[in-house]
Amino acid sequence: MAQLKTTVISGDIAGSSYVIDNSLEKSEWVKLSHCICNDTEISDCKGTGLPWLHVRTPLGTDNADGVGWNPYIIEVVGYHTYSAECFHDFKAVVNTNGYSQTRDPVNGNAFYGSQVRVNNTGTGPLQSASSPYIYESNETYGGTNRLCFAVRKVDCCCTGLLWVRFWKNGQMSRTYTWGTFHADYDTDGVSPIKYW
Amino acid sequence: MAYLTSLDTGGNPLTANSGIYHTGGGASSWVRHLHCGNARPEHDRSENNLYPYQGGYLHFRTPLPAEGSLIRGQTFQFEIVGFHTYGGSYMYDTKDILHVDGNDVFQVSYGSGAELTTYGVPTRHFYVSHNTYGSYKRICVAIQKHGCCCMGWDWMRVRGSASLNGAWQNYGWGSTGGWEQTNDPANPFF
Amino acid sequence: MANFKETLVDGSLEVLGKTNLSASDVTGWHKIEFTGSTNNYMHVRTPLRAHNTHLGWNPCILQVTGQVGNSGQIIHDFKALVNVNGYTEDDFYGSQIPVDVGTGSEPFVYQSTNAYGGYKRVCFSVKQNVQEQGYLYIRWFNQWSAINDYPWGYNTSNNNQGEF
Repeated sequence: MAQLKTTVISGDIAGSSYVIDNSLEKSEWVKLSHCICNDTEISDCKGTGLPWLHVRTPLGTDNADGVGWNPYIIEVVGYHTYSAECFHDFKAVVNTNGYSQTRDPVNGNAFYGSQVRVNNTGTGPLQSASSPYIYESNETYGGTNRLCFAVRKVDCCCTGLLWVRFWKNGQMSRTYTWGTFHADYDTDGVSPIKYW
Repeated sequence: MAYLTSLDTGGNPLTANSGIYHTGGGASSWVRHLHCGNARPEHDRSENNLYPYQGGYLHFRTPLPAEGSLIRGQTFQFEIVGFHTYGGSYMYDTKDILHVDGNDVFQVSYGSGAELTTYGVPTRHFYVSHNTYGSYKRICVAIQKHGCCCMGWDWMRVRGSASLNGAWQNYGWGSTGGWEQTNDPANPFF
Repeated sequence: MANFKETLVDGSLEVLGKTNLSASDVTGWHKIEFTGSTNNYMHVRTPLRAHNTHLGWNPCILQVTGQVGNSGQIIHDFKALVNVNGYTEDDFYGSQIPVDVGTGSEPFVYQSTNAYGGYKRVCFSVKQNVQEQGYLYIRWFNQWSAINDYPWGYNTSNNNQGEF
């Protein structure tokens, strides 16, 4: 490893990896593409796809992951289809109750829920075409529940990309894998099933 | 200090411990703050001085001088991203334009940023400190917060001319809670 | 040019040139300093090809922020989706701006009429009729390497398109 003191680069910096500012706990953008293509099942590629894209992030949502009353921001920018029939540009605050379940059996270690505070797609049709929803996975992955979100997509493969980053706890974005899935619903507001 | 003409990191990460200035792109480094105003009687308390941390505003004194050659004639963007309380009752995602003219008169043009929060669109207010710090009055900003200490983080940066980096590092930061959005010269926060 | 393996800077890092890292597929910010004029619009020709080779059914998000006027009389802050028909060479999708939180900005995205370096380019215009200093900061998501494809171009006019 090269170790430098304060450094000035008079030209450009380039590379295929990340440049990380340790003083911020802000992650770099992670780019995700989406399309679920199955031969025999419901498939975006066959035009029988489903209208919600669910993303499982690497960030844990349990107190043991250090997020109890240690909130952070998730930011998502992205689109689906060639004319951005769905366009996403939102920030949400993510938090978990910091009490243990021993101390507070009802609320301890409970996820705070979907708190989308900034949605730059405004109001009306554009915002409903985004409809972001934040939730905690029902299952554990690598021993812990993970932060997930759902956004609308068109029920086709078409083309779509998402960029995701975190303001605070950004280092956790490099600790586990990502996952994507398409589904009929955004979350258990409609169906009791959480898709992660 | 190391000086490089250019750098190719290949497929390997580069980590900087004390800030990254994207000067070529016009941006200072982000600076991050944890906030909770102090609860001394003259500061982050309710207006009748009864209850601590219920002042309602978090005031930051930035390193930016509000006068003098480092800042005179500059027009620049001041960006804030952040939140207060565990549920993000207040959330900031704003870009405002600040200007100090040739006579050291300070002006602000507020952008439309920051969408709905639980309590409506939060307000922020830029002003000039009443006192001098390091021989200059400083640009300050008050942002609305919940009436509690709770938990909150803010990230701030500026965009403008390359010389703004020097102003961004010209002095230390300060923060305090307050019951007013403005800085009362008779009883200043800064 | 220095070539490093994993690197730690135990202090601050300042980059006077461009920051272009492909892992995120987001370009670094490109800054433009200018003085507004009596013309209504500032036009920017980006290096991004409005052509299948960069955009054919592979859209990019163009993000622009900035201001014009010593008092920030006009504030720009928008995101646009730019796309070209994948069957034809340069059938541009048009100005698609789903996010605009500026003030008096009037953004418009278009394809250049002329070819530059053999390709029509993605252009945009924003309001700038304040004869004082202005800044624009531009980046895009997807196809990050296109930022090095061709030089940028700038001009002003009273029309919001057709300047390049």
